[in-house]
Amino acid sequence: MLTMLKNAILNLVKPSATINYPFTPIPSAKEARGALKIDGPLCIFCGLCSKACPAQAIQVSRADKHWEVDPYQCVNCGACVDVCPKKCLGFEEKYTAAAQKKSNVEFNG
Amino acid sequence: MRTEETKKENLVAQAYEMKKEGWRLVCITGTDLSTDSEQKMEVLYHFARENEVRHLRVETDGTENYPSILSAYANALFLENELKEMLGIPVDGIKGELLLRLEDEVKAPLKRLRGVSYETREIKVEKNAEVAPQ
Amino acid sequence: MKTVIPFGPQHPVLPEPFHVKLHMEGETIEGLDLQVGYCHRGLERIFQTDYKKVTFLIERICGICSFLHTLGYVRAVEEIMELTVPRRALIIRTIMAELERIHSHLLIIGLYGDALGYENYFMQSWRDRELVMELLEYISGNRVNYAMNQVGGVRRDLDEDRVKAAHKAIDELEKRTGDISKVLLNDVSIKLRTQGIAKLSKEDAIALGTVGPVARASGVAYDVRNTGYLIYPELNFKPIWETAGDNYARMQVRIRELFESYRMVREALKLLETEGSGEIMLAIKPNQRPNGQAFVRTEAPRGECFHYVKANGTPDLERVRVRTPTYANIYALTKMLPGADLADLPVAVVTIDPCLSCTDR
Ligand code: SF4
Ligand code: SF4
Repeated sequence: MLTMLKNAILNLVKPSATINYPFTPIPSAKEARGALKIDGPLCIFCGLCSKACPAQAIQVSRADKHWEVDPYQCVNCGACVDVCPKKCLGFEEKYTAAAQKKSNVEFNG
Repeated sequence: MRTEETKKENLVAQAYEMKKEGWRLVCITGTDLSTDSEQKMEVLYHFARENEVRHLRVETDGTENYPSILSAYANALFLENELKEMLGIPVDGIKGELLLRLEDEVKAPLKRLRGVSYETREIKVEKNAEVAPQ
Repeated sequence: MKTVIPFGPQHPVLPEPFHVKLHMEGETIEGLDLQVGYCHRGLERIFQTDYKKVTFLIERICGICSFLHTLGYVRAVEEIMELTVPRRALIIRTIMAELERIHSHLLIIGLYGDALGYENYFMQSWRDRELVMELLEYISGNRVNYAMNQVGGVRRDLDEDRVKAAHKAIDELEKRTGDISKVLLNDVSIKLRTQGIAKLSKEDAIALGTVGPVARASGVAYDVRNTGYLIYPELNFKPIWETAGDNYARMQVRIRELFESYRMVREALKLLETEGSGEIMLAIKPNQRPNGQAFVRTEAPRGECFHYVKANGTPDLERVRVRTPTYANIYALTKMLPGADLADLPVAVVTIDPCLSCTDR
């Protein structure tokens, strides 16, 4: 019982434990899978990433040299990163920030 | 994984026997194996006793009455409900109102319907990302 | 006076959406009807796709035991494809599985305090849980849905820094769990509200096919980790069980399991350190495809989890069947609750640790 009382009193004087998001960014771990990013110029538009994606988040068109990911459909699994032959995909450690509008991340070669 | 074939007529008696021997029912799996020419479903009963496992396999065409082993194993209730809902197998005395709601459009989602082209029932995962699973 | 009270699916004291129709005699519960299915997403249908994609989809059955679902699934596929997983991958899988058990048990201990009306306890336990969540994020790259498993091994290695961080977190957690468990196990008012209430006898526990802590609290020493998968035999795993079968015993089992898990994680981490680095993933040729069927049992935090995979040599699987622990346990409520007071219902529901998104899939 006294352990909890001690905690209760400590909690009264300690600073707040929550983060004032979005004004303070959320800390993320090293090598966290935050948001998918592409190192554009390396991409050869082979489409392997879109075939491996379990969430159908990536669309690749070889003819138009167009690569596009829907960050709100992507589940940050990393299957596309594993299969990419050019190793041009990767993750940012920062999580996708809160936004008012949904928009896709695109790249045209 | 070795399965033992059995007939649905013997199923209930066999379930009682296994219960006496101390096996517990782990799961019931129904799979639709129908092709265009014939309708065939298999139902697997998985039993376990400590480290041993046993699997009974029953074949049915999915339209005739199907026996329920609820009287031997009380925990078969949810499992047999699912058999009826997901595959449309008419299990005796089971209502089948567990997972799907009455207003849901899809009945027996794991069943391959003969006469209905597979394409229309397919959840379009490959081609079009916009179509939500029905 | 006889009354019927509908309870749920949305109710402030229910941790998960399911519906019970309570048949009451005054304040006492006489019987109940259960209705689940509010989280049904038709996942078993979606799993009829590429076997490599299913690994990522199957962990989305549940956010709490997501690692266990991939573990059961990849074990089944590996059994079909007759792969021998590298030893280091097995050790990492054991560590992940146990860390997940720790975070699941701390979660339910917190909810238990909440159901008893002890909010401070809830916050305390969840604050401690944050330690293991951060550790899991550091190891796997994500707080939930770790994407660690793939057919043939694991996708991320535990380097030295991570092993060190894990040791540190486990030490801290053990200390803090010691503190909070003292309150849970010794407090007089908690004991009064939980001991002897919502009892499940050993016979009923067996007849209803209950698994996990619910069965073990009723004296059924049944734990699938005993069957010797991963590296559990090396860690001298012993099932933990109690005989009382009431609310108190069910939480007691979980708290004792926490300490057992801390010990096993520590030993597995030591194994990682002593054995040095090695392979963590088998290379699988693109034309190597599963063909056959397999049945696998895995011990999830809530009990025995069952995965069945049937493949036919094409990349698309024919059938994946999942039977989760809550599926077996939730039906036990119909035997536990009659005779209890209405006010005991939230506590009894929490002690079976329900997870409805697992149950409905
Ligand atoms: S797999 Fe890599 S190279 Fe190929 S389209 Fe995707 S990002 Fe580009
Ligand atoms: S991280 Fe996973 S879900 Fe996201 S785009 Fe890549 S494969 Fe698809």
